Amino acid sequence: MTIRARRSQRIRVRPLPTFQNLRHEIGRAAESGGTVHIALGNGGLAGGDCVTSFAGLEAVAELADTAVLYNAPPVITVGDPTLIPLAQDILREAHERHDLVSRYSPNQVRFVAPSPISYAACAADLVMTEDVTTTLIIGAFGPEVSLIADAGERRGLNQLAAAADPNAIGSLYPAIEDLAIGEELFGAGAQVTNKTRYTISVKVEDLVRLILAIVIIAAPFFV
Amino acid sequence: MGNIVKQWIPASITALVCVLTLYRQTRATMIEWAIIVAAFAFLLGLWNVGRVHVNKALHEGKSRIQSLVLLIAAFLTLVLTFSSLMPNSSQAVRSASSAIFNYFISPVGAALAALIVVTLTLAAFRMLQVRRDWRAVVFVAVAIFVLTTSIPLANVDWTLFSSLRAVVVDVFAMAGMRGLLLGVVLGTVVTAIRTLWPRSDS
Repeated sequence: MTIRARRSQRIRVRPLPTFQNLRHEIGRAAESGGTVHIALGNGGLAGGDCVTSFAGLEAVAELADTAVLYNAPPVITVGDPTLIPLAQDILREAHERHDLVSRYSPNQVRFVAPSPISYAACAADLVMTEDVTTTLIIGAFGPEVSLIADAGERRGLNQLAAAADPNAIGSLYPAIEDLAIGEELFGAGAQVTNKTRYTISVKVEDLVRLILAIVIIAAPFFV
Repeated sequence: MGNIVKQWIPASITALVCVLTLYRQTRATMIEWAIIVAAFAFLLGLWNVGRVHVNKALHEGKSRIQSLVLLIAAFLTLVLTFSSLMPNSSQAVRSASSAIFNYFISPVGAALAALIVVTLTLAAFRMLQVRRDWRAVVFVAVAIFVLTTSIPLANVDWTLFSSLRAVVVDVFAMAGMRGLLLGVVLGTVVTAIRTLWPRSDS
C-alpha cells in the first residue's frame, strides 16, 4: 500500500456517509449565518479515551481550514480541559495558514462541564440557544449523549455522529441517521481529506480485521 | 528544520515517555507529572469557563442571565469550598459547602440521569415515525422484548421468555459487541500509531 501511495495511486476506502458531507455542512452553516457545533465528549489526554478524543480532534483539524475559509469557525465543546489547548491550537493554526489571525477567538473552544451528564446537558443547552445549524458528535460518550441528540432533533438540525462506546451507539442509533459505529469513528480523516496517511491506516485496519475474523472462524476447526 | 521541531522532537519525547512509563522505577514519576499537567489543565478549564461566560454576560443574548447565574454560582462555590478547607473554618461554612453538593449538584445530576430515559424513549418513537425500515423495527422490538422480560412479575412464568432473553443478550448482543470492540481496538491502535508517527502533508 505504501508503494501504491508512492506511485500516486489513490487508495480507495469504503464510503462512510457520516463524514462524506462534512465540508458541505460547513458551507451550509456559512450560507445560513450559523455555525457547526462539534461535541468532542468527555475523553481527555489522561484517560483511556485518549485515542478516541484524538480521532475527534483529527476531524476538527481536517475541517478547520474549510471553516476558516468560509468564515464559519465551529463551536467546539469539550468535557475534559486537556483538550482545550489542542482544539484551540488547531483553530489558531488554521487561521494563521490563511492570514486571518484577527478573526481567531479562543472562545470557540468551550470547556462546558467535567462530568459526563453535566457535559451533555450543557452541550445540549448550547445547541438550543446558539445559532447552530449542524451538530457533529465525535469522541468519547456514554448514554448521556442522547441529551445532545435530543436537543438537535427538537431544533431540526442536521446531526452527524461517531461513537465507539456500545452504550453511546445504542443511545444515538434511534436519534441520528448518519451514525458512524465503532471503528468507523477513526476513519473521519480518510473520508474528509482522502489523504494517504489516513486512507492507508483505514485500509490496514480493515485488512487486519478481516484476518482476525478469518482466524476466529477457522480456530475451532484446528484446535 | 521546521519538520524536526514540529514533528520529530514531540514524537521522540512521546515515545521516550511511553518507554519510561513501562519501567517500574520511572513509572511513578511519570504518573506524578501527568497528574500535575492534568491539574493545570483544570485551571485552564476554569479560566475558559470564566472567559466564555463573562463574554456572554457582557453582551446581549439568549443566555445572558444563565451566564450571570453560572458566574455567581461558580464564585460562591469556589469561596465556600476554599473556606471550608481552611483549618479554622466554622461548622456553618463546612455545612454550606457540603450542602452545595448534597442539595444542588447531586439532585440535578440525578434528575438529568432520569431525563436520559425520557429522551431515549422519545427518540425510539421518533425513529419509528421517520425511519420505517426493518432495522428500526428490529431495534425497537428487541429493546421492548429485553426490557419486558427483565421485569420480575408475580404469578407469571417467564421461564421460556427468560431463556429467550438470555439467547438475545448472551449470544447475539455479546457477539455484536465483541465484533464492535475488536474494530475499536484496531482503530485505536492504528490511530495511536498515526498520531505518534511524524507526518508528511500527503
